[in-house]
Amino acid sequence: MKVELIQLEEDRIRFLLSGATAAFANGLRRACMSEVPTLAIDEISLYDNTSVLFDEQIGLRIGMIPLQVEDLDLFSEPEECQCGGEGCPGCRVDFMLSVEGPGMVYSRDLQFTDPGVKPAFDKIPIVILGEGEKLVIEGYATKHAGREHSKWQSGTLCGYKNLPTIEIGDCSGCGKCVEVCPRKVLVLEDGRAKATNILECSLCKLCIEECDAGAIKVVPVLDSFVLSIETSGCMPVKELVARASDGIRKRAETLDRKLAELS
Amino acid sequence: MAYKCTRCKKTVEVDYEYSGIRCPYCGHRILMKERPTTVKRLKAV
Repeated sequence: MKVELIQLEEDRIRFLLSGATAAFANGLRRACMSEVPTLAIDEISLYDNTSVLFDEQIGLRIGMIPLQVEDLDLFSEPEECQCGGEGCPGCRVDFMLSVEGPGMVYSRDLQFTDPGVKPAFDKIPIVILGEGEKLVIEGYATKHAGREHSKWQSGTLCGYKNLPTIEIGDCSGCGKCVEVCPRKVLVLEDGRAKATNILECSLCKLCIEECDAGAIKVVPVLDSFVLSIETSGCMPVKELVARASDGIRKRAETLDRKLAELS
Repeated sequence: MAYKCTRCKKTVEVDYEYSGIRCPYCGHRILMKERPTTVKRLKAV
């Protein structure tokens, strides 16, 4: 298996995975989306809400705010915590939100008791308050994985496609394929069509339809995949992919151990 | 159950025996149900 980096930013990554099966690429994609745990606001207590939104809508909006944690491993999931899920500093982070209008309530107004926890983005609007309107909320965040609820989803946009190869045979140089390509993969060079930026090809095959001579072939490479992973902002994308891969390895080891016990 | 008159802002007890909703102080017919003072707990979903 070979990994080749295409693009890396703080919250998104694109890499080429070759020598792997589609099942593995999809397993990695799914692990990024639903198996990497993170913190999210779980339950709230509303002391006052005179805003225009219903309590439940406020609850949903607060729950969906991605949270950044300095050291995620300090926290454990409530079900695995030594307190037995009752709630302790090891599995819960309390917060307070108290704002009086007029003005917009932003995610930065959430005050967590743990200084290592903060919203991933400061300016996520929660609700706009009018003159004299108040919002007073207390609650706590817990650690879970995306399979529980999308608010605990660390990887948001995760996808993969096969690496395409574009073979151009007897080209007449009419340039129709260059015009029709939505991602500008093909260019006309020396009177012939040529594939340049092949990673951008979405395998839409419009060029094949357009070519009267039938000279273009777009074939996916079956064991190479271009993976695009984006995080919700709760952790750097490098950490997300590392944690997802680690999760797959741990689960495979558990399966191996269980099978060994059976035989 | 206590309600609040939207015109005179007074707290009004509604008499369910009487067949209408009306503020006994000002006669206004739009009453508002006040938010309970208890803390409301809910799941953030």
